[in-house]
Amino acid sequence: MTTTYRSVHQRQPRLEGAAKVTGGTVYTADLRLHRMVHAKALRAPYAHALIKRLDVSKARAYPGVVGVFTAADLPQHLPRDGANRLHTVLADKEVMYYGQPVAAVVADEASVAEEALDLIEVEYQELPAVLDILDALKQDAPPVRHSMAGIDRSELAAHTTLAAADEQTTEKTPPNVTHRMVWSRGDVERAFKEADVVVERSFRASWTHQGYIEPMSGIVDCDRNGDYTVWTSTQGDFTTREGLAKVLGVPETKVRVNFVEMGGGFGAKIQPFGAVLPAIIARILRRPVKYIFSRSEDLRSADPSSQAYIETKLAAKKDGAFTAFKARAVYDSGSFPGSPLMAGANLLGAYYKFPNLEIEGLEVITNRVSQGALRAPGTPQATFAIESTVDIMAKELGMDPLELRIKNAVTQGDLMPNGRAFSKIGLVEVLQRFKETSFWKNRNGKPSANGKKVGVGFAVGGWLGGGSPSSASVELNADGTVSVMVGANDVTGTNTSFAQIVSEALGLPIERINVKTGDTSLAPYAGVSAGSKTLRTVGLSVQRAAQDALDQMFKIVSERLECSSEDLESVDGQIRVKGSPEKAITFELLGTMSTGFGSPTPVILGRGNVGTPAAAPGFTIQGAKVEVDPETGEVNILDAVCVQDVGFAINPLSVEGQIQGGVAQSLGLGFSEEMVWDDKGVLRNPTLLDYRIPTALDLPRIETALVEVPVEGAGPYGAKGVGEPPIAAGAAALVNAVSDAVGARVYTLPATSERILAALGKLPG
Amino acid sequence: MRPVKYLAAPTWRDAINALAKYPTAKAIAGGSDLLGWIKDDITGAKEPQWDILVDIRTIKEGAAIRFSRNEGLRIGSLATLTDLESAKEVQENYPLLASAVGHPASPGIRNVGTIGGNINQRPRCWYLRGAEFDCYKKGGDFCFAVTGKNEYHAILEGELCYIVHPSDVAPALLALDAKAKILGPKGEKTVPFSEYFVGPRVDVIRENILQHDEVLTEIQIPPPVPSSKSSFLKVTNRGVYDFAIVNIATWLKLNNGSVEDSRIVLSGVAPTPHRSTAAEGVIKGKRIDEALAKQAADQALVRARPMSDNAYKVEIAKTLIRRSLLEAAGA
Amino acid sequence: MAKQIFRLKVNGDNYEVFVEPNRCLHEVIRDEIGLTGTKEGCGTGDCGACTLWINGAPVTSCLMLVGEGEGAEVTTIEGLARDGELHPVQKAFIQHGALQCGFCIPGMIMSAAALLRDNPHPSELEIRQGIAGNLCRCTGYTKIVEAIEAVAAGSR
Repeated sequence: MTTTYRSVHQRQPRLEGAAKVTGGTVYTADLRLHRMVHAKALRAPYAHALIKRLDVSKARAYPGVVGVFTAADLPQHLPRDGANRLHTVLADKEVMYYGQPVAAVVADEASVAEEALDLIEVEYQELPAVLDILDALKQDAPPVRHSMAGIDRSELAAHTTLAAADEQTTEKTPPNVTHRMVWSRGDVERAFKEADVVVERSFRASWTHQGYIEPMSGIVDCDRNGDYTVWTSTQGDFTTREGLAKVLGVPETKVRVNFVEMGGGFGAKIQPFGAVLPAIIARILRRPVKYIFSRSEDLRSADPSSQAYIETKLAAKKDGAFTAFKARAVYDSGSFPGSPLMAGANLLGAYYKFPNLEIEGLEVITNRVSQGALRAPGTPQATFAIESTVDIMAKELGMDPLELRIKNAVTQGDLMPNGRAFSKIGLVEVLQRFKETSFWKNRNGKPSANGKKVGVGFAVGGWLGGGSPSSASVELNADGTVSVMVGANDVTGTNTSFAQIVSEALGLPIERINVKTGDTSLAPYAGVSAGSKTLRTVGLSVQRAAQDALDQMFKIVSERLECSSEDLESVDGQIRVKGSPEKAITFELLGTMSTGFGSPTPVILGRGNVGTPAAAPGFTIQGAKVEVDPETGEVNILDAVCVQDVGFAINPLSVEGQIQGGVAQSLGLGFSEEMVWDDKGVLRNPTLLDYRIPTALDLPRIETALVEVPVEGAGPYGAKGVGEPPIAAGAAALVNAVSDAVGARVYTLPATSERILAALGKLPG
Repeated sequence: MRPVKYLAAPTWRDAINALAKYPTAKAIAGGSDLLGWIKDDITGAKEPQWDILVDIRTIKEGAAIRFSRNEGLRIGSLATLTDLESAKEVQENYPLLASAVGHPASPGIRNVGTIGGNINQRPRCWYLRGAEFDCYKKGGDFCFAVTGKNEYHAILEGELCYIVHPSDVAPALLALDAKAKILGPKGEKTVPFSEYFVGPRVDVIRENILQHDEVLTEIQIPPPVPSSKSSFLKVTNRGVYDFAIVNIATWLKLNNGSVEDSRIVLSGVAPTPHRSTAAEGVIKGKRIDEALAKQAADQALVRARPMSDNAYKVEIAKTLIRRSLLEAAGA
Repeated sequence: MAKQIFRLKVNGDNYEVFVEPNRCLHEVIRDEIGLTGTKEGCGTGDCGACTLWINGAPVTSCLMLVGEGEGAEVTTIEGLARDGELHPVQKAFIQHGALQCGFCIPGMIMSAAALLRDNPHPSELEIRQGIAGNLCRCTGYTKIVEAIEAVAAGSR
């Protein structure tokens, strides 16, 4: 039986779309407040150095400058040892990465603040910088940072809810190895001996940037009561509140974060890096402080995504059954620990059934800006390694690479490397559905011509999905409209989807529902919009709040109409007796009754609050068809597809859009995106010219196919997380396609012209 | 962005007077290169802080495009790349130029970016453009690309400095035997583009012969040569925005199918647009076929001296020369 | 630095602004005139978020000084809708789900609207060329291309 839905499962355009297409939507930089001043940071030109002298007197004297701040001017309660990136607002004695803020100038005009930066005198003593991921593993490597005492590892735990056989680092551990873990089961060495085919390779994935178009930004005011008001480009108003309260040493009740639209975050804007500095200065000045990163500052010193080095060893029987997998994954966390090592290492061995498995994970620190999340953090790197290895194995076995994947794909009950068993998942369904896509049917459509080579590749990807408690309220207004309030930051259209959920639950046209993200002093709590969890966690709360409101209305109506609540239904804005539609009370009347002066009827206020719902891993297969010019190494992406298990698509229009965006990013990781540091640790491409985000001319029309394997309790109607799985596999698919096209394989992401020509043996050395 | 004064120049003469008067004045047209330069705060002992901007786009006649069968094409240096790409007289008579002007940057930048600006833009070297690096071009005494990241640097004619010439238009102009009309305090002069660009061997600070108080006012291209053929190719990482890893403008004059005359010019490989007389020598008097094109390509790169990360450019340059010859010759 | 008076005509309205001459056109339109639909994503002409029209041609206004806007008809995203009615491209972007975070969208729509004005029935390649200078990180461009195609099909 198929259920029919009136609102959910429908293609619903964004309800606030008109503001977005007319330039009316307000982002942080668009705001101006009275008495507002502008902050600019002086950033270190070295990757590792001691600050021997810091003289800001000339900058302080510059006309228009309101204040100049160094670490010495910061509140005394802030830790000075660089334990936590968020607390390390300005470098204190030691610079640990290129672009680290060393001092801040505040002025009436942003341009004046910028001019005054030039007047700050700093004397540095350069220290050896550790940059290469393998160098960082060495026992005799120079330490990346002066002190490792008190290092905060909470970031690491936040990335993944997984338990790990965590081996504490010991005295013998190399100085820059900040985490080591091993997962194992069975006997891999014996399995390798008994295998028919063994494939052993190593892979590298470069540092990449989230590439949101709106740079980091924040405005913070602090009044004489010590109450902070914040506007900032963030994925989480409540996590911003939490972070700022900790840094400022004030209760969370003193920090009010307003919802403003965010121009993209993709994981980078989980931590309030744009708001900490203005918050601290606002406290000192008692004036609103605006702090907008330039693009170059954002590329140099925000929180980009880790590079990784991964060794794999895969064993199989002649029939294609995988018998063992061994891997060693090294993630570079930059100058602060907290890499997505565990998430990446787990997914590295999570797509297939491996009776014998051993994964060693290592996190190292280097003299670079510290890493942050990027959409399924750690996963594109790991997926590149495993899915390249599987493709090579298919070739060695002479098997179809898709059939090989189907044969070994995990299903419910299979174990992840961390020892946990999968709940209900849709990987096999996704792989089967792949064969029905236009992509698959047309995979042989364009022959190679003019010396160019066409190839097809694909790769499996997945993400376990995060979760957190959430809450929401649904309130009936006097005119019969409904106001929904959440605390979740809407980026991709979640508020529109919430309206669909409420519309479905209340039987009320969506035009009469208004969903707003409230500020943190008013809104019900929601976790950060990350981990592919906003819709499924907050959506459950919204669904419950709507049901709660409906129950309250049914109670009133049942008393009025002298019937049982069970006999009532809510259709088209009225609550009526089933089978007797003339016996009805409209939402308008209920609204009037529940708000009117002197009315005995209570306000209809539905409340929904849930803990972390059941896990709902989402799997994809992504395909890419490429045309490679074997003489120039150029790659032209002809077709791309993503088949994804989304559980249940509340709004297929936005689900498709989010998947297409994830695919685009994943292809960027595959062919063009790479942060390039030179041998001194100075970022050489801090512009969007040289950090190459794919343009409309670099991408094809991206096909999507939604598979729905709903998981009860994971999200409303069984919805799963959507945002992260589609970035997992695109780079791997692209490299597999290049390999199919030219018969040579690239082992380092991205697959640039140079790397492809090198793989083809066309370069000397 | 650091402070600047802004002066609008109604005539070329006003522009020159202003430049002559102020040593830190710079002419600005579309501004798409210069403003990026100033925003990046690129300065040094030999690289002044440009703090007076003389707007020359206000010069009314500066953007004119005129064509006659006898005189050829006269392009005001302030004509935008979009103007040129859409001009019928360019499309019909100079397909090589029409193709080249469609390649730089993005549509939004080509709508304001002028041909003069494209020719005179500064190199994109990521050390030159990094405030932290006091390189030769700014008055320092080191080229950081030599020991650093050099995947986009020169494979030919590097000396002291290993920038590559960034322009897509310049090689087309050399291939079309164009001339530059330059106006200065002492009057006007016309210089072939083959003598316009300056490599580090001659002067490491500059990329062309323009003196501080001189401006490029017009580009002159001779009348189209009957039985001439051409080709423009460019390799980049992305479909838009990127500067050439290598680009090539090829112009051939054929006589009964054999090459009577040719000009083969590449950018992205050397500090100035690189005319490959070596390749031209190989094809002179011969019919172009696959083997000859390959021979010309190999000959053109005999003197290539790639650095640690840019050997791939040698391969790409060879490929483009070969393809460009075959495409132009219709072979 | 001395401020100067500049005269701008934006969306048909005349403005006199008194600003430093090193201010870029998009900054003045945002900060002085108060039209904040034009965004800054990079400040160096590499993303297209600041795209507006100068005499009808889409340009990256972060690479133009305020003085360069004098004497021109400047049109921003706020000037695209006429008489309270959204431009067909704006409607199509909403209808086809061609927006997510929305930050690139004003610039993207200015490029798309100019493209369709000059070429009402573009091919997919022409559409992609027309918006090539506008980076979008959320959509992968697919739904943007579909929205523009829908407008073209609707005007056929």
